[in-house]
Formats: sequence, C-alpha cells, structure tokens
Amino acid sequence: MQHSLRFLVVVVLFAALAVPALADKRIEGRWMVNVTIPVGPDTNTRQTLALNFEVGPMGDSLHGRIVVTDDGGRTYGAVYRQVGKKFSITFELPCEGSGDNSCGSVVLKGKVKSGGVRIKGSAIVMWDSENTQNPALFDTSNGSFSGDRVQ
Amino acid sequence: MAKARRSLLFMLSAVLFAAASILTPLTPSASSQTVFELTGEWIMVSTPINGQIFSRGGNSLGFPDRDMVFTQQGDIRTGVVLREDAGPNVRPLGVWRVNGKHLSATFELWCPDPSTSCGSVIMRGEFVNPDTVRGTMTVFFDTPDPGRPTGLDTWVFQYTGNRVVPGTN
Repeated sequence: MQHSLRFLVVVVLFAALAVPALADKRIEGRWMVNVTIPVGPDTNTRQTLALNFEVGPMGDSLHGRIVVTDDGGRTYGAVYRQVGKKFSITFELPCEGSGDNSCGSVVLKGKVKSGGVRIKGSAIVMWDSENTQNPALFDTSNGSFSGDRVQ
Repeated sequence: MAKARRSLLFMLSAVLFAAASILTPLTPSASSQTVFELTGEWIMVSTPINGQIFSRGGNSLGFPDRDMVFTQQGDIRTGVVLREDAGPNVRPLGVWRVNGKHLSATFELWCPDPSTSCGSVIMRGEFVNPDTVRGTMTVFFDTPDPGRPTGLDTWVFQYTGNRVVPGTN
C-alpha cells in the first residue's frame, strides 16, 4: 500500500514537472529578437534589427500570428508554424516604397533552446530586386537571429 | 490695326500655352491615380515555369487553384489560403504588402504530417489592373540543398490571380 502511494507521488511529481517543460517549447509569448541580415542585396554591410515579437497561440491550427514591433516603433504582422522545438516565422520588411533597396521578405527558421527561454536560428531574406540567375528569381541573402523570452 | 490684332493673338496664345504648361504637371495621369488594393478574395491559378513540376529535391505543391483572402486591420495585413480541398479548417496563414502596383506576400505551408517536407512561400507580383494580378511564387522548403544560395531546396512557379466579385463565388 505504502509502495503504491510512493509510486503515485513520484508519477504526479513527474507529470507536474514534465507538463510545463513541454509547454515551454512553444514560442507563444513575448520575445526580444535580434535579426542580423545585410542592409540590402549585393552588400556585405550588415544590420541588426531589434524586434519585439508578441507571439499568439496556434490553438487548434498549425499556424499562429505574431505582432512585430521594431525599434522605430513600427508595427506589422508575421506568421509562424511550429512542430516540437522547430519553428518557422515569416514576415515582410516594412519599406518606404517600390524601388526601395531595403524591401524584402524574411524567413526565420530556428529552434527553441534553454528550456524554452531562448530561440536561435538562420534568417533568409528575399529582396524585391529581380535576379534571373538566382533560383528564387530574386536576390537572396542569408543571416541569423537569436531571441530571449520576455518574462 | 491688323498688326496690333496679330500681336494680341500671339500674346494670348503665349499666355494660354504658358498656363497649359504650368497646369499640366499638376494634373495627375490616370495611372498614377490608381491605388491598387489587395484586400479581398482572389483565385490564384498557378502554372509551371519551364516545365519545373518539382524542385531539385523532389518537392512540389502541385498546381491547385488557390483561394486566398487578404485582410487589413490597422497595420496588420494578413492573408489566408482557404484550402477547403484539403479540409474545412485547413487555412495556411501569411502576411502581405503592396507598394504601388507591386505586391509581396509570405505564407507558411500547412504540413499536418511532420515527416513530410514543409516550407515557406514568398509570392511576388504586380497588378495588371485593379482586379488582376500576376507574378511568381518561390517556395523555400525546409529540406537542405547546399547548392542553393539560401542552403534550402527552392522551387518557383508562376501565377495569375483574379479578384472574386462578392456574390459570385
């Protein structure tokens, strides 16, 4: 009897610890994210975008929404999908108008780390400038990102 | 007298010409007045480019007609693909922007089976007229391809989209 009770307590304690650990893998919540990418196509000069992500829940969907606020106070949307620790986020860079070299689309592919308080991965930018030599048909650049959960 | 009348006519012509020259640049042309709106429902019909039905890594989305709805709430511009062919709740999400006649949208693919390759789609194009768009879509699959500049398996196809007139779908 005492043996069973001890086993039950161990199971309950394990479950109590395991559930938050699994929940923490989700990127839902607030994040401070630094995205380092070139300032435009055909340049090695890099910029780091300091972005706040307000990541909404996926609910029953396979996708979720993100409200992004940049250090210039601009707000725009992003979307994401997540399976286990791996996730992908996409958004459009805000830009002043067509012909602006800073116009592009960003894809962030990364993993949740450190028990759910850090995200890290690679960034891809597809710029607005056409390039028939690129398999994407537009100029592309590679970068990186990392972020910390805001408590 | 005739000479004075000719001078008067010449002066009048000069004044009218000058007035027209000043006013013309201030009158916008019809094309520059057009503000293209992506918000609403669109049917996008896609076709291969140069017969590329699959990516180099063997991935493809096929070529189904895509029913897309674009909305805007404040600064947040969202796109939804209505994949009722795949299921009533299959609604891949994206975001978009329009600059002049150019449009760009990015979507995440809907991948219920984690064992299959997923990816992200970037849609680029332009308005042919307020109710017709055309362009290309680039898919960056999650599958690595070190031979591509992004390091990811990449596939492109072209599309033409027509606005769904409310009440006709």
